Amino acid sequence: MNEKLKAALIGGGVAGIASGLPYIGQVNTACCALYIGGGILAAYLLMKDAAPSEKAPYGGGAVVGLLAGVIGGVVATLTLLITGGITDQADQVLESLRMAGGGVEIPQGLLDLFDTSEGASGGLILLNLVSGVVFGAIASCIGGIVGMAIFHKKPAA
Amino acid sequence: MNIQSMHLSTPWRWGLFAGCAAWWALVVAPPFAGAYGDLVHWLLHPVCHQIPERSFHLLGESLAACHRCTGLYAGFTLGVLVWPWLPGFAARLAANPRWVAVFFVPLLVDWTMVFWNTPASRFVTGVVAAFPVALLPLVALGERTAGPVTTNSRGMDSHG
Repeated sequence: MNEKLKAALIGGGVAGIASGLPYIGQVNTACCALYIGGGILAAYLLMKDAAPSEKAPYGGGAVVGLLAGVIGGVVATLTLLITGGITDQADQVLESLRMAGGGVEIPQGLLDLFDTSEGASGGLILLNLVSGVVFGAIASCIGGIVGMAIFHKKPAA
Repeated sequence: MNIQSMHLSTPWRWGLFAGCAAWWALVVAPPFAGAYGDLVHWLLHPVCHQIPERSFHLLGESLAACHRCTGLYAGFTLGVLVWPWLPGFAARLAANPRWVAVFFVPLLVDWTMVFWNTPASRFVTGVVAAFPVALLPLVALGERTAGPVTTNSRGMDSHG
């Protein structure tokens, strides 16, 4: 298997599972710390057996981090589906949309999206998946670049 | 890494800045989003705790990120804009990139003082932590930019 993909699968998998778990997933509320950690882990796995080089391969770190974030977002959504965490705070959004005053007309489709009385709707799952993939990709990409800065080996002088 | 070999002011930098601007638009949107304010908060709830007492307020509404996250976003955006104007410092940091981690020490110290830190300390330590991080994607984008590079008197790169 491609080394980058292997590192991204492990980094993203760990970050995704952790992000979807109750309590542990809350670590992400510190600026996506779990996704950033997943990117750093992917960069470490990619660099641990790499030969020393003059320049740190930040581009490679960005790519492996991005991949880890996309994988992490998908894994996190699947984990949230299993743990039931996907409906978190959806009731609060639905309530505030229903309470909207000032002549604001809220589309029925949006209200249905956040109505979790019969479980999470397909739209809510899709919205979680898209936001997880986008936020995960951004955070893990930065994590991958920072990971390269930390784990890059320079040739001995 | 010497200054001449760094290409920090690439066209990609403006793409990165546009991404930062889009993110800022989302963070400051709740006070202007009316009935949809909670929806914006919900969108960003996976990335920040958004506790109102620990977030900046605008027009009586809390933003969609806490003081510390707002500081991190501010530091990163500032870095994207400012790093090409600090070529000497940029070259020194790029040559020793592990120093980026040192800038996180004030943030971690402030974070441990959860009952004593202030909005200003949370925001400023966030700025200090994220400002150097912005250099790394700029270097990565510079490495991916093709074409001959010249450095003008201010250390800014131009591509021909």
